[in-house]
Amino acid sequence: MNKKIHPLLKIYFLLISCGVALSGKIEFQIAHSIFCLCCIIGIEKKWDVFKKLFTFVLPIIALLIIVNFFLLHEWMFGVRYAIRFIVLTLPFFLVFYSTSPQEFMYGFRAVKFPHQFNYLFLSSLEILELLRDAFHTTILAQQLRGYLIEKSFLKRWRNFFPIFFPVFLNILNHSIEKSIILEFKGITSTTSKTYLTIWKFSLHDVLFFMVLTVWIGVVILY
Amino acid sequence: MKNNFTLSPISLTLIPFGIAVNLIMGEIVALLKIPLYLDSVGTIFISATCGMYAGVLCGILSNLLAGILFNSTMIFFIPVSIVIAIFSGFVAEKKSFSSFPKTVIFGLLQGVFSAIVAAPIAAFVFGGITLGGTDFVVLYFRAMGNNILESVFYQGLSSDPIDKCLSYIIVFFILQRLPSSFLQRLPFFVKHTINE
Repeated sequence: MNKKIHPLLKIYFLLISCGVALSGKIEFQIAHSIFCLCCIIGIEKKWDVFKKLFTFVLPIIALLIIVNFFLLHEWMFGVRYAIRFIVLTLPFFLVFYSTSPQEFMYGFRAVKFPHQFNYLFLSSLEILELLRDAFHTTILAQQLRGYLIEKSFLKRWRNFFPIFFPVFLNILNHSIEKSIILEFKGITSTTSKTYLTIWKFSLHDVLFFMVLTVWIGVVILY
Repeated sequence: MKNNFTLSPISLTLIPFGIAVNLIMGEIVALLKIPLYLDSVGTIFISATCGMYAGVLCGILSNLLAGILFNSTMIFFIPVSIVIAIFSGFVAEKKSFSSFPKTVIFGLLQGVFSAIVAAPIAAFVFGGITLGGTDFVVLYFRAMGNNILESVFYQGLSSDPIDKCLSYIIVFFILQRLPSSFLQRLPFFVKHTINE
């Protein structure tokens, strides 16, 4: 585990990236983007990112450049915001595709982050899948009952409630049951907890922190 | 060592529920082809039932997860979610979710506040383009000669009040129809809405 970068440093890297993006200095932004791309290709080997990049980032960049050039005749405006968008997007891909939610939790424990917040984060990811399943089941059930989706706007709006409320109540029941379990497990206890795994900072984490701090210093000063 | 961050178990399970509702709402709206976002229903519901702080947590985590899972631009709109949570918590404290006209009025007000907070973020960080359907409205206002901030703000004013008003109405109907056995489990809701 310690061979990887500490998750909290990755969050620091995201903040540094936001600083670089908002600095408005194109040469630094391009350098930062190239660094992120190299990390994605070289270290993480996350080729899925490029699939996401083509389906999500490229259309927005194309839209920014084309619309600003043809409609508003401002060529540099589009390019400037396109580069800023790349700098803001690539680090998020890099960090969140290279770190599992569990790894984030290990990292938060190192700085004694409230365990209830950790529970919220993990539980949200879990319940999202449950809700999605409930949603698809409800859609099928309501279609069988005759609530057709392809109708006029008013009818579609009226169909919203027979789909939304069953999904809502279904997961609400699940939440109530879970709250009873949590109460029994003593999650509201205010005493500190002990953990089997805590991700501590290593020497290369400290070095990475220093490099990032110097980098943002250079971006601000020059 | 004492840990000062405490939430009741029911709030702890309802916050992930609110986050999931916020995220799944986009899918329902897209399926029914309704031209609105309705992506803050969960946050408003949590603020109304568990209080402002739970709502703020729900809003922050919703945008964080939406940024990770769907659209990374969402992360920069966390301040908007915070404003929504704080305002809806304030509305709940004033017992306004028990009256339909008040819900509508506060929903419209919420839309205006959201537009005010979202406009500078969308304008200065993304140049007005966030890959949503409303980007074309921004471009329309820009083509009419307005600057980016004005265009984004006018776009927000044209869509956010309707969107937030409908979100408030949905939460109002949910609260009216939830069984009282469930509502009694929520200390914040019992204190501010039931005991009038």
